[in-house]
Amino acid sequence: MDKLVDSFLSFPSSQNISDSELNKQIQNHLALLNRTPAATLAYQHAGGDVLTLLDPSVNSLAYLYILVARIDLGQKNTLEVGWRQIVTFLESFNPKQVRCAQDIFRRLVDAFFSLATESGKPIIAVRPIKKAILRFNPTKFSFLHPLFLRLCLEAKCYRDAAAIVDIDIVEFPISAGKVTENSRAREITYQDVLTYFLYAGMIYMGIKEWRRAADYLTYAIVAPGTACSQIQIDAYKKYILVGLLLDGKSLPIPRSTAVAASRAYKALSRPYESFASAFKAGNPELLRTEVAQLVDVFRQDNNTGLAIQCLEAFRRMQIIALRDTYVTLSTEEISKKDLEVTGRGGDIGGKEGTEAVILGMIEREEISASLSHSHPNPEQSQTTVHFHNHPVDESRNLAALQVELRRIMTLNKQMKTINKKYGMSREFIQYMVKMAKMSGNSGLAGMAEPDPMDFDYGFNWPEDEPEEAIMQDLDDDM
Amino acid sequence: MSWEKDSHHLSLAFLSTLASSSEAPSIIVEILADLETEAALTPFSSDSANILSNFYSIYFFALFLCDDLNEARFLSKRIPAQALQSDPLLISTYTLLRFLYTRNYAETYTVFNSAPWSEHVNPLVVRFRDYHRQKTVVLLSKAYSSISPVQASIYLGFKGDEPRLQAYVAERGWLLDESGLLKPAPVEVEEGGMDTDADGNDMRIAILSGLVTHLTEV
Repeated sequence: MDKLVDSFLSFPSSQNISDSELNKQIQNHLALLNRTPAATLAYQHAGGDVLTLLDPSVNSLAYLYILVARIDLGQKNTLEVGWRQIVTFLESFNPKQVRCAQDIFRRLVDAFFSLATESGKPIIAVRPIKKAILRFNPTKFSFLHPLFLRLCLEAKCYRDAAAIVDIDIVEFPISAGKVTENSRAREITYQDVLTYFLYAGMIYMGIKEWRRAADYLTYAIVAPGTACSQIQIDAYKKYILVGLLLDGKSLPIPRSTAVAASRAYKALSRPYESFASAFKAGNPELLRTEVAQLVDVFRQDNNTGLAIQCLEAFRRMQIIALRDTYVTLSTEEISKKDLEVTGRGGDIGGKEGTEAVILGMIEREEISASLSHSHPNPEQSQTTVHFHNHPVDESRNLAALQVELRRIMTLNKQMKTINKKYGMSREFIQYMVKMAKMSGNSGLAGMAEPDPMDFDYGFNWPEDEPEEAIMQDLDDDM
Repeated sequence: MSWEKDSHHLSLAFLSTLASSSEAPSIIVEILADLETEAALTPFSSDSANILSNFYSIYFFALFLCDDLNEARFLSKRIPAQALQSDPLLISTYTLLRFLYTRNYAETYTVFNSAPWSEHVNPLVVRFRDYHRQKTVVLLSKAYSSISPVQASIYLGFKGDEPRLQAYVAERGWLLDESGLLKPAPVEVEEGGMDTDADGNDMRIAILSGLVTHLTEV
């Protein structure tokens, strides 16, 4: 064992070696780790723990293998004792090394995930896994993404989740047919991606960012396929309600939606559609009747919270609509319009309640209006609402525009990088060569015309070149 | 379960220092979020109740200061319900959250002034009360063209203390008109978005030049 520890510590030979040298060392090191029996790895000295000798940020692979070996042999008990070491590892591992042992890494994360959820404290895994995602390239989808969001939803940790879903995913791994050294790495499935989009939508609903929520739900809804997944149906139902909160009407089914999915949405979301049309009609009585009938539907779909928020939004949107008819109106008259549909009772429907609602709307800049009291004595005072015509603060729009511009610029840069990366990938070039041959051209003359890519094509690789060597270079992140 | 215990950071001394520091609220929240794992693994008992209730209460106030009532609401769901309903400090903090969330201004100040805040939490309570009042006065200036002093003192937590209200709003340029109503002064354009200082200009030039370069590349 001591000899083994020495060899663990001697990898990597130095901190500043070239990438190719590091890769070679990683492969050798992995070979050593893979042929060492789990029992040897998991062995604990009486004198002290091997893990205390290793630095998780330098000797990441050995640290990872030892943790997994202990979990495999000691099962749950080890996890409970060793969770702190797992946390330390997840917060400090070296991504270059761990990328080469993804299946082992995934076993560690899965075990940690089960420990956290089964003990009823999903919160303990949230921060470590968040940090692990950020250690890799967070714009590239990985198995960590859906798993992390599920943890956050279970733990009700929306702030941490928002930090991750705010980062747009620009790349999905190509996993089809890729074979790793010892076993086929568990691939990212279609469901993983769909659930990620649904969960991300739900995170944004939790923090009431309806625009981003609708965006993520759209990704799930338009996912291509010949059949429709239940995940997509759930996403669509939420999409209708989010549309009401965003715009006061249900958002249309995006045009690029698959036919089968589109048909399924229409058939399976009728109650939601009728709720949306009652909402849009602007008649509080109609909406109340509709809600009374749909209570069970919302409950079954776990959409009650969202539906209640729609009802709260109804009053606000109707107040905004009054702007088209009136210049000034007293809160008493507004409250007489009986727009309160949540059925909570109390005085929230009254004129004080109405005043509070409008004050909130002004604060969130949903409406441009001002309030005025008519008398110093609240008993005799009337509150009048003056609706303004000028749009919400100009500087805010400018700031929002800047944010959008910056976002587009980043996306564009990322797109260029990806375009280049995949343009140079073996699969793409082989495909282009095949296409060229099929059309009778010997060269690449028939290549898609608007995109004269500005780099040299080295498409004469020998067929027998081992796949690993190339994939290693291209697969530069998770 | 036999969890390792290590209360290195999750200690009253540390929390106290954190709560009285002038660190930005978002940084305080980050530090507390890292400690939450530790807190979640510590069961509520007579030994741990004091530190846990202080921890969570400080966490709530840090989130209030970040204007993140949503997350505060989610935090209240992460804490064992029993603790939230039995610990006096947590009961007060949670009550305050409810009043803030439902925009019940009058009751908010009652809780500020009468709840049994511990010495550890108190610096943050004071910091948040001032912040909340400041935020409210800005909102009132934006939302009201005239407001009755009685109502204003409810919003600003000066109920029954007219002189203090008058002094507070006079400082901000509000006037009392002949009918006895307060006329809020328009809010000055906030620093930040459209500021004109040199830094802001440099920043905007940088953004603009970045945009132009970007457009020429596309």
